[in-house]
Amino acid sequence: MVVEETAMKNRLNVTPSKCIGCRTCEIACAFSHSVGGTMGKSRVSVANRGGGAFVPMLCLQCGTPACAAACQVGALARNPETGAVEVIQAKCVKCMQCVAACPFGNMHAEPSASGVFKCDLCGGNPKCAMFCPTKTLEYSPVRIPARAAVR
Amino acid sequence: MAYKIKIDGKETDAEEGATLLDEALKIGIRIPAICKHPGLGPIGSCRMCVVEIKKDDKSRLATSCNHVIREKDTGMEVFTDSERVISKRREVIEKMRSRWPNVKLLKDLAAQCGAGEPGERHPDADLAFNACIHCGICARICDALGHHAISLADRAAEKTGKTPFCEASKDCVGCAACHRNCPTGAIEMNETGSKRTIWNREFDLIPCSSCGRGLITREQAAFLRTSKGFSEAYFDKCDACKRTDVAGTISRISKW
Repeated sequence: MVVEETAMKNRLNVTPSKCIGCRTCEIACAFSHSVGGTMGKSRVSVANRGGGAFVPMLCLQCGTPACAAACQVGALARNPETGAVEVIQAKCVKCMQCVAACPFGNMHAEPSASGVFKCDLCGGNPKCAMFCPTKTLEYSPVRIPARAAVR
Repeated sequence: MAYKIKIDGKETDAEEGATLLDEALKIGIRIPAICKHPGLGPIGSCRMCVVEIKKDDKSRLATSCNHVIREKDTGMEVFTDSERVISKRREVIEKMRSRWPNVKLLKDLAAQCGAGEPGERHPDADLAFNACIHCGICARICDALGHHAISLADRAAEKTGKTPFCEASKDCVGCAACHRNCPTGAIEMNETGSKRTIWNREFDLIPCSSCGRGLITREQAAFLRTSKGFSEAYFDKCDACKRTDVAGTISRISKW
């Protein structure tokens, strides 16, 4: 398996044990990606697993992304600066193959399949991490080498 | 390699292999185009993106979407709003409007280019609001996705994007990308419950095994399986249910 080399300095670390389920990240994401903060536009969703266990789910920016493998027009590409796999909206032909292909369900489809969207790490300044009150989501320098982290 | 060219008086370093339209967009000059889709190769069929190219005291009109920049283009001057370009663009849009007078996309473009109302109606004029304007985006998308189920077929008034002989095509996987990208909405698709009807063929949507919501058709999943090697398990659930499952796994393995 070949992992692409990226120049990313930070990564979005998620520590589910710290999550209190306040969903501030969802609101921050919705407001930074849509006019008026449409909740359906949020790239992050907090899953309530019961018993006080909450897991914020967002794109893992996989080493070999299944969404990009399913895309046949090259509309999904890694941004070398942030390391995020981004949707190039102009190129997308809305075939929904990436949404079906993502094994983690972190590729989102717009209502009535009129487009797709995913976490783009806000271009290097993730708003979810900025507003997270408990530092469950933390945009911090990469500590482990990217190669070892994927394995 | 990059070559120095001038677009509307602005000097720019154009990359070899890039198109004129993209280079103009890079420095903030928008050229109208109908048949262009950034995910697909250019075909230069709508002629809306004509520009005037001046090189060695010679001037010519060319479509900017499929003019690929090469070494011989060094030092050329491009005009996107000269008199010649504007009159040509108006002529093109007026001809299209005489053929499809009610299509909103063309109406908007005509207003944008300052073109008048078309004088005479084309004998094959199609008055539909969602008429096919022969941009070919549907057929090119189908080719790019690797299905080759539709193409622009027939001549004159009958010419539209269609499947061979208008019959249900066995190559079509029912992904409906053609329907979603048609700029005028000419391609009909019906989706009721777990059935999708497009191009005279009915498709089954794979229902999510937890919530029953369908996203892609069985044929599209089979295509992904055979051509890209995706396992069947990928398409068993919808994105929201997959997310819930993964969250469950993470909460099991993470320390509380």
